[in-house]
Amino acid sequence: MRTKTDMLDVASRKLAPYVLLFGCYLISYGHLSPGGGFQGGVVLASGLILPALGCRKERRRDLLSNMALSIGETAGFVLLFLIGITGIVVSGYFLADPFPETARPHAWFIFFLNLAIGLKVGAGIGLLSLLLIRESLEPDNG
Amino acid sequence: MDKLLVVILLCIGLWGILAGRSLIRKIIGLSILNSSVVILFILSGRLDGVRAPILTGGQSGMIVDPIPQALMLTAIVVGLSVTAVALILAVKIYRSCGSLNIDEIEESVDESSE
Amino acid sequence: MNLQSELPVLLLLFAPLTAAILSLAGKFVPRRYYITPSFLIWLLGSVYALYASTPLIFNGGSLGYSIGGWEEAYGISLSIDGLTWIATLTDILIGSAAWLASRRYKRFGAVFYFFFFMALFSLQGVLCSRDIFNLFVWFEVLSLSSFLLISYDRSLHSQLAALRYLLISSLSIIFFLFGVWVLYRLTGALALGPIAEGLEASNSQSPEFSRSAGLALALITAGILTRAAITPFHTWLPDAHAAAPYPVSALLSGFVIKAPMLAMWRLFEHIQFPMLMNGLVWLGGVCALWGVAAAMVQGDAKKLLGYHSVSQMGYILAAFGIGGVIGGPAALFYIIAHALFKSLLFLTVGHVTTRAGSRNVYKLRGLGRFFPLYTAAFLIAAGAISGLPFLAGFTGKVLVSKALSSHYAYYLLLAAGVGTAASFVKLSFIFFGKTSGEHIVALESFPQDNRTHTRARVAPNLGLILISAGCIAMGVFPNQIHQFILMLLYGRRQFSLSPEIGWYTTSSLLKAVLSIGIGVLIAFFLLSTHGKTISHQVRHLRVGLNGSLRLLVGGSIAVMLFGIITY
Repeated sequence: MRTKTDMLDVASRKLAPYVLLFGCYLISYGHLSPGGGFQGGVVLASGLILPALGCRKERRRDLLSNMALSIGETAGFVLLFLIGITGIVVSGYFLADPFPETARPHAWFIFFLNLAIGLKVGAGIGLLSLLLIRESLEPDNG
Repeated sequence: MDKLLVVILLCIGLWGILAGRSLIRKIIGLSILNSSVVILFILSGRLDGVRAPILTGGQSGMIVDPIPQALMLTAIVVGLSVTAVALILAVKIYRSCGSLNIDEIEESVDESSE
Repeated sequence: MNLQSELPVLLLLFAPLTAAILSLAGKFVPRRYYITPSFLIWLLGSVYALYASTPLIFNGGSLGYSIGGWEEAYGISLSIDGLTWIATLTDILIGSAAWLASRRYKRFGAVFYFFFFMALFSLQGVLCSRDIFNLFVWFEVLSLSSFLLISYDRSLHSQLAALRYLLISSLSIIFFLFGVWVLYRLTGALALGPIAEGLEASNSQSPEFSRSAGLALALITAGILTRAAITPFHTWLPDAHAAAPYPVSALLSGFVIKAPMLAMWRLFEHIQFPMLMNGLVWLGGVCALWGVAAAMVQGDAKKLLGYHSVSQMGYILAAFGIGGVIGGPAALFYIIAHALFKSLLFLTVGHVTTRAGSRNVYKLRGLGRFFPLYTAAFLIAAGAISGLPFLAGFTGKVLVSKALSSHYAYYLLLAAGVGTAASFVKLSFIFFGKTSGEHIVALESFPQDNRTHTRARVAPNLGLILISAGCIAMGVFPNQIHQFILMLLYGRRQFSLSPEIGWYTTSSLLKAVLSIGIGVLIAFFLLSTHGKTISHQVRHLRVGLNGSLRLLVGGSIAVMLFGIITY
């Protein structure tokens, strides 16, 4: 397939937000139903890959930026590390629950962890896949 | 029956990685092998109980073993990273060498070093 | 939760992790803000952690930390004990020397140092971990960092070598995971202590139980032996260590292949499997001989060193297989000695071959004139590995031969010793003789990639001098070091039970002189025309990627059947 048709371009771009939404759902409900940080993150990444594969060449650079994903990935990693350190400061164990027993709803800590992991995994795998796609569709040197 | 599925996947993966002439076939074989291990762990945990391992209202009842699920989450992530690195290396090798066939690649490595 | 006693473990793990994160930040900031600070954070953090744990460790105790505060049966526990302590000390020394050597080159940027410190982080994890699945995670992080470090200079050879290492180690870790599954089904535990208890308790229950347990332990051993580059799973190592940049090779050959051996030590600390141990002694002997036979015919200097790593791991495996009060400390002594002289070899040979532009052992000559310090260090290291008296390898071999004294595999190791001497005499010829024209041109021109100011040129030499001093110290003060190791492993009260070791007796000196003498003769034969033809033909018998994978599967199946039958 040499050229991307209009239909493919429009369809992939219109469907992508729903995939992203589903990814966010998986991340947020990870403590109650199958899902969680990693699974939702991978779906988020696939929501990024879909428009990258379907859209036309001119749009690709505007649609998805490498720098944003790189920052997102680093931010997710650092956030996870900070949550772990907070756990150490509060009760001496890495990734211990820093919320006081009485004040919290049931599973806030798991929710925050899922968010951080989802951000990191989604950005990381998305960045990786986008780089590989760009390599194969527009091979350049180096 | 679960064990049969795992053995079939294991054989397919081993065949892919051992008999493959192309690098991509080996990497896919590796990925299938990873899946076979994951399925083995998860299905064996399933035999122990009937419900998902979530504590509701302090009562637990019969639940499936949560440890294999946690272990396999890690194993899936690790397998994913290894596959990603393998694919990147394969792309780079293809760039330098023009072929994904393992025999041709080894020949060109021999020529350039000896 | 007692922060005082848990701080050393946390610090030992967080020091390299923080160094790695700081290096990652180096993508955005200029060089000088992150390179030395990250190294200092790692070095000072680890040294302080070791220092803080000395009081407890030197009395034979251990410091534990469990993640999340769960007790051992439910959680992941990490701990430092005597073995971890001395292994970490060696690791710090080798890592520092490798880092100092890498500082010479401009091309090693933030990403390189990130993976370098991640490799050190996961090494620490392997050394501290007491949980078998946690061990899997650390192994995988270690190998991921190694793949990227090996393929750093983006040549076809290094990328193929890294891919080969990837396929072989991933396949072996799948077998490892199958073994973990069987163990989990049998004992319901993942921590090493409860696993051992579980196997002991149900030992006499049923033949099916012992068959499964044997299968599991064999699979786990096969996975670990692949990482430690034992025959027939060693095929990834020569290419990988030859193609990697030489500071990386020094770290990999020096310490990364030993960490799996130490993990296996932990695993079998409380599990009895005498037939497997006996099998490992024989496997060690075969491995030593096979590695040396392949090394003697190599023409590429770094590949030669790689095959020697395989061979020396055979020595360590054989001593480990004997076990007990004699074999265990012998294996640990040899691990430290080998770490020292192998990394020294890679740092010296790597540097001179990079400057001369070629790794061909038959063509390079006369480099001693250009690199006097490196030649001296090389001679110390080569003497050590060949078993020259007053150096580390001689005393190591005395201990190992004492451990294996009544075992037939000893003769294999003796033969391997002769071969080692032979190939190192052959290798040392690159420093003597007359340099050829093309190499002189490469040597006189100043490399573009090197950093020019004095600190960058002097720092690597510091690492060399430290390690050479270590090699000599292990040869001159073996008794003190051996007693120290015994104290760390068994505590102050028990070490007086070990028998007296005769280090410099007539028989050991005679053996060393004979091996080296015959080795010199063989070396001259190898360098003759006839020898070169034979070497060329033998070299062509090597296995490709498919062959290595098939060897791996075949070997694993063999180990598996062995385990099932003999548990």
